[in-house]
Amino acid sequence: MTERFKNEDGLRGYILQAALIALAISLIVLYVYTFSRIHQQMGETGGIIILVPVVLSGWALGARGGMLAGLIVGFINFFLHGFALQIGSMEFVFIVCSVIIAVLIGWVTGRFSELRIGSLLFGVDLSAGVVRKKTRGMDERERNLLRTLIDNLPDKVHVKDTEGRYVINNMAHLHSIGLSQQEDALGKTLFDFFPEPFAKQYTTDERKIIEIGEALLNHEEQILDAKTGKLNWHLTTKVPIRENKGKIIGIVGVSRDITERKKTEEALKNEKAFLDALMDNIPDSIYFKDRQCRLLRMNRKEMQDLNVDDMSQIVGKTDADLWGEEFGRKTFTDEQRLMESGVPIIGLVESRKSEDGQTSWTWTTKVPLRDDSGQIIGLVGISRGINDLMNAQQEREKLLANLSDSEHKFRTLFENLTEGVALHEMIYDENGKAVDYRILDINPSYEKYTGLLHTKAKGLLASALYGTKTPPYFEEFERVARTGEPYTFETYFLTLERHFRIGVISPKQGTFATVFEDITERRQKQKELQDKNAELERFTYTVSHDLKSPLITIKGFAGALLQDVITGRYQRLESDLRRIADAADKMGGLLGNLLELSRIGRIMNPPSDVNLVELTQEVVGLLAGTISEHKVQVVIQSDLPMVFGDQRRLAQVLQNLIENAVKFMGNQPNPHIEIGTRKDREERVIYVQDNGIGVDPHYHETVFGLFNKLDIGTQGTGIGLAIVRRIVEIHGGRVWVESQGKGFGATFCFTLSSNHITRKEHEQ
Amino acid sequence: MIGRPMTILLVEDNPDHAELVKRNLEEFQVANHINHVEDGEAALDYVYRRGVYFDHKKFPRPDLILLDLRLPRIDGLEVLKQIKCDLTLQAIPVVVLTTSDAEKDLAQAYEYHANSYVTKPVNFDNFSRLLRDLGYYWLAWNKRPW
Repeated sequence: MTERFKNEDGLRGYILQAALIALAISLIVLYVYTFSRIHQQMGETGGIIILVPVVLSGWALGARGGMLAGLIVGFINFFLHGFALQIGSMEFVFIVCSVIIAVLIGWVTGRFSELRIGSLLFGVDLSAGVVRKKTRGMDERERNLLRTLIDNLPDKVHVKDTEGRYVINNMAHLHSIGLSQQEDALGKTLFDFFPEPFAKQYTTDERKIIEIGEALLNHEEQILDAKTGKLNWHLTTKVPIRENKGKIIGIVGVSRDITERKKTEEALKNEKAFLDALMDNIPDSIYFKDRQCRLLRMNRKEMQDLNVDDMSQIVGKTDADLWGEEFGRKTFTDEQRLMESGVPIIGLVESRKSEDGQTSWTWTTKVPLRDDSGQIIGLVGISRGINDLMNAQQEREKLLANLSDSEHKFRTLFENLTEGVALHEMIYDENGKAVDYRILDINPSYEKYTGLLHTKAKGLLASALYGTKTPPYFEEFERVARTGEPYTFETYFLTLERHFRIGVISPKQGTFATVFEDITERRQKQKELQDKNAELERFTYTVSHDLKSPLITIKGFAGALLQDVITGRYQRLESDLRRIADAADKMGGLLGNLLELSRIGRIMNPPSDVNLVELTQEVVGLLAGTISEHKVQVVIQSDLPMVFGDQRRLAQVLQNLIENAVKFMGNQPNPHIEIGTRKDREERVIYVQDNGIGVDPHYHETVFGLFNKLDIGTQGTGIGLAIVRRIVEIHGGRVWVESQGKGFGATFCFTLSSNHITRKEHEQ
Repeated sequence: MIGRPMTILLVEDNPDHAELVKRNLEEFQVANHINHVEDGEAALDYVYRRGVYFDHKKFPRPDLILLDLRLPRIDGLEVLKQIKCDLTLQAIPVVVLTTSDAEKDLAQAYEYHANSYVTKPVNFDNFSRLLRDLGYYWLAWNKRPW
């Protein structure tokens, strides 16, 4: 080419040569640029296509110029690509060879000048091809790297073209659609793997992205799992792929199965819902505080208590802000100690004053809150309003105080009652039938009455205590314990020789109290009163009957006498007059006896020690006449006691008894009287025993009645034994007669009360 | 008048009173027989014909019993009770003739079905009139089933 231009005009030739060189250079630059672009976009095919115009243009240039240009371009290519791409030494040799070949080809073809530049460029392209080959090797490595990377991503990655055909799928994605090889997925669409409705929907979504060109980022959606047929939650990001000019050529999708996370979230949400429901519906106040005891959160109850609607109004406040300094200080101290020590406060009863001055009581438990590392970061408190409880307790305490006061009163009463009181509970068998009763408590009087010791009796079963199969008065007690109707009865305790009135009351079902009242004395008094009344009655009777009786006789015979005198009949005169006189005497006697009887008890001689042996001997001496008249043998026992009493009256007792014995001897051939003493159950008995006519058991009581005479024929007014009884009774004793009946003799016995039996007696 | 001998059983412990009763009854001749016993035991023996009273002719069944209350051995009220409780004897009119005007005795006597209760008047004339009336009433006027 140089030669050719040299053949032209000097300057003009150089200018033309320079222009040609510039054209070649610009062509080469254009080539390199276009080549790389096309190559980039279109690959090998593009390279070949571009080669055609380059070869054509090469033909236009001369062979030597082409050789030179090829050399230059080869080196440019070499430097641009070879060094830049850090090729290996073999490749370097290959490139150098390719350049030499290119030059040789350029030279050979230069012989046929038409092909010079084309062959040059072909050589260049060969060398470039080597570089490209090398470059392509580099891309593939990167791609492999990338491929490995995405294949091993746990997330599912796929790339689709604008038609929705798969271009790239990573292993995770392939597996998710039931495949294992990339080749199986290429060119397929969603419809190949998903039922139509799903595929349609996903496609529509992707279409939108492609159309609008906006990426879908971190979108949560449910995707059908082709293998399991379940809908799994996925977090999906889909980004449109743009080519350099910005045209969308596909879509890349990355999605992650978040089903597990979703489940956990769901569970957490439910948990929270439960907790919230619990928190807000629990009647207790629940609150959370930070390390500085400031409120963080609380439930609805606490908000109601604080009278706020919005939690934010009180978040960050302290107890001091809400309940006043004093309370606040106290809880602050408590809570700080809790958070420092980690020891919870459990069941603390607190009182706090609300604004209206009302004291409210709470039952509080506070527990430290820890973070993951175990550091205490606050506390949770739960408080329950226990006003009702506290009020009730205060009431109860008051009641208890009252109760203990009243218990004390009743205890004092119980201990000091003269009545014996015993508390019992009924014992029932498994059929609910009462079988026994237990002694719960007895008071000192009861101990005294019964001789049972409190310590011994308490808690014992009655059957065991009293040693009987059926406990005493069981039927009565059971009835009272069952019906609650009080019951009172009187009874005589043989062992104690005392009368008791027993009141039974039931303080509550199944229990009963017995109240023992010793009524022995009252009984005695009653008896005495009854006796007095009977005596008074007898006296009245006597006045109306026995005194009237002689009066009737006197008046009657006086009347008869008068008639006889009038009618002149005198034969009965004398006897009638005698009757009148006798009746008057009898009346006189009765009056005298009555007077005597009324004196006894009213008029007494001062008591003295009386030797009964001596006294009896005196009395027998006085009656010596009668006794000897009836030829009665009298024996006086020498062990008659010393007594203390009215000597004259006691003499009268003995006299009347001995006189009676003599009087009622009947026709006993060997009349015998014995005055003696014996002991009956620790009681000193003095008796006058005879072997006379005896007393029929029918009349053992009536013989002692006033003016009761058993025998008409005998003398006397029937007052003797009445007087005896009277005197004995005044001395605190009793008198009675023992006789088997008529013909068996009689023994009249009497006792004197112990204080009328003197010390000497006791000494004996 | 019935032509059958009438018998009165007089139960009276006081011999003087018995004499007065007998005299008055005899004077008015209302009774053929007056049998006198002195105590309750004897009275019962009589009506039951026990012991000495076995003889029916000598001690016939009384047409009227005059009964004192205060009696030795067995009380008049007891005698009354026994007679009135005995079906064979209860028809016999028993007139309580006593010194007692005690309410207790009166009530008791009627409780035991005494046919009549009179107290002995202290006044002699009244005494005579009472016995005459008693005799006439119970032995003459009063109708008996036997």
